[in-house]
Amino acid sequence: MPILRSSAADRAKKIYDKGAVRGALAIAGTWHFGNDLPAALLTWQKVHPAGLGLAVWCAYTVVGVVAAVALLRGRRLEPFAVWICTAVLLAGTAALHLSAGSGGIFEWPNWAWGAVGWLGLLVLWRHDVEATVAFLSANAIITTAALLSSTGPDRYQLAMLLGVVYGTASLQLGALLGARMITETARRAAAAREAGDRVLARGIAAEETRLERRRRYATARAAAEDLLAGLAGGALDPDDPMVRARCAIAAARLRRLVTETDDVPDPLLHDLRAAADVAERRGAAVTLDQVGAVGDLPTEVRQALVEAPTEVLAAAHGTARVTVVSTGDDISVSVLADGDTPGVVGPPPGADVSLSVEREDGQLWVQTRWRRSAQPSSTTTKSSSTVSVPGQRQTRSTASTSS
Amino acid sequence: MGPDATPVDVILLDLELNRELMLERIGPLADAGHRVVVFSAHGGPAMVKAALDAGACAYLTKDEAREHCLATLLAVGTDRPYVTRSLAGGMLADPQLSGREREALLLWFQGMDMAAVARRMEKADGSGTAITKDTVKQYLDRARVKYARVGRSVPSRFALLARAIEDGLIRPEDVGDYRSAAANQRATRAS
Repeated sequence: MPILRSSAADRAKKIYDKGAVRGALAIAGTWHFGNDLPAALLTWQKVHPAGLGLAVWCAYTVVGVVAAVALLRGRRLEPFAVWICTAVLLAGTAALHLSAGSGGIFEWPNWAWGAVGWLGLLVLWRHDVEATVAFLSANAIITTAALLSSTGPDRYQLAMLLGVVYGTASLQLGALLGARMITETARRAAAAREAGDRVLARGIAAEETRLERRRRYATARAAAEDLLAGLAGGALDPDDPMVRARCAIAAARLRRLVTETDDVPDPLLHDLRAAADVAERRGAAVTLDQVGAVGDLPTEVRQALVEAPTEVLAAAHGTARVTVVSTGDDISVSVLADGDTPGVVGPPPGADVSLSVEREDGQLWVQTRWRRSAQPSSTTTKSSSTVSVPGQRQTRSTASTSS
Repeated sequence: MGPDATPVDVILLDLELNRELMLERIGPLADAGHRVVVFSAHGGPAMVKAALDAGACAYLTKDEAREHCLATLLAVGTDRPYVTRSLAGGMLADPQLSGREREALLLWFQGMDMAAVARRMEKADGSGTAITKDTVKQYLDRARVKYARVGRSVPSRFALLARAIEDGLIRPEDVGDYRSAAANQRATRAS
């Protein structure tokens, strides 16, 4: 099953995980202070050496606090800390087993082996479940070994041990798996909801695009209608170059509308279309062709890509061809404008976008280009002469030179 | 229309007749041995690719018809490649292009004429080797032939490849992965 990944889903998972962590901390804390502390305090003289139980309790407290701090900060214990903490926990169990000696497994002074599970749960929280299972098994094995080595196998005691191990471990594993299931369910629910929101947002955006297109179509249609009516009525002469230019512009505009296929606003195309509209209103015939989906771009990259082409379009008054080509990690925007369109005068683009400007045979070609994988590098500005010599190219490029 | 209709050299097919897309008509026409040039208001790469995959020889948008229509028809009529700007756009996403072919296609698609593409590419080349208009055309044509090599097999495409070998544009061994029309028909029948 494909797993939906999204920020909202991860947020939901974090929130639920935090709740589960607090629950586990509450259980472990209550047990540690409500059961272990009285056991260690009231029996401190009954163990040998005296105070061993208290020492183990203190060590366990340190482990619990270390784990709690990491978990409440939203992290998990690092592997080396896990090793140290589990070693301390298991050593405490073993130490009290040795001290309690024969027959003391189920006595109060030997409290550690029954209490260590909850602390282990905290230490191994957000690690693999297998690690927790291994830890609980290790504790059970140590305890069984202690039992067998003290009085030899005693059916009654063995059954009791199994009962206690099963009772505690199932509770602890149940809590762990339950928490995981809740957080995972929450994550999925949030992901599903976010997917729904995205569909809704896409729908709204598509509707906006449609309305915008309709509005532009109405404008373009009115202009074309005037022309057609004029031609049909004889008011406009098809031989007149001005009329033909107007027809070319109106046709180009309608064609651009007809061939727009994106159903969701693309900011880069939107900027270029707006510039093309302005150029058309001033009497330039603009074609706009696109290859490949541009996708999400950092805002400064988009602005750097669009700036010089927009500037050229703003000054174009013959024909202009705008192209956007996005293949793989390479995005280029170019404008080829004829007539005496003034060159680009703005500052060089930033954001690792390279700019090429060439003028020849009465045509101005401007291209901005950006590579997605562009390494941050020193940007050098190579300037050649900007004096316009007929037939000679002007190039001003800020190429990202890799040293 | 069928194979026994009056012999025609090239069919110029408007992709949108009576608001209906003629994409599925290209295949039967191409299978019948006709050379089809698709003529459309739509220039998007997806549409270009769909038309070429169906067996069209060339693609011409209404924007570029004035400039390229005659030359396209003449080239296609003699089984030679002709790359219009819209076709270049459709082919740009082809992964088997060489870097030079891709650069030529990009500049051509951007609207430069052959001479301007040649001058621009000369400058891009570090060695300073001069590139002629003919070399640019060769890059474009070779890209077109490469594209035809892996497409659906129809007689017109086979003729294009054969002519490309004859003209020295590609070598016979370059056509190694060409699927024969018979194999293609077998696949169609099986499906």
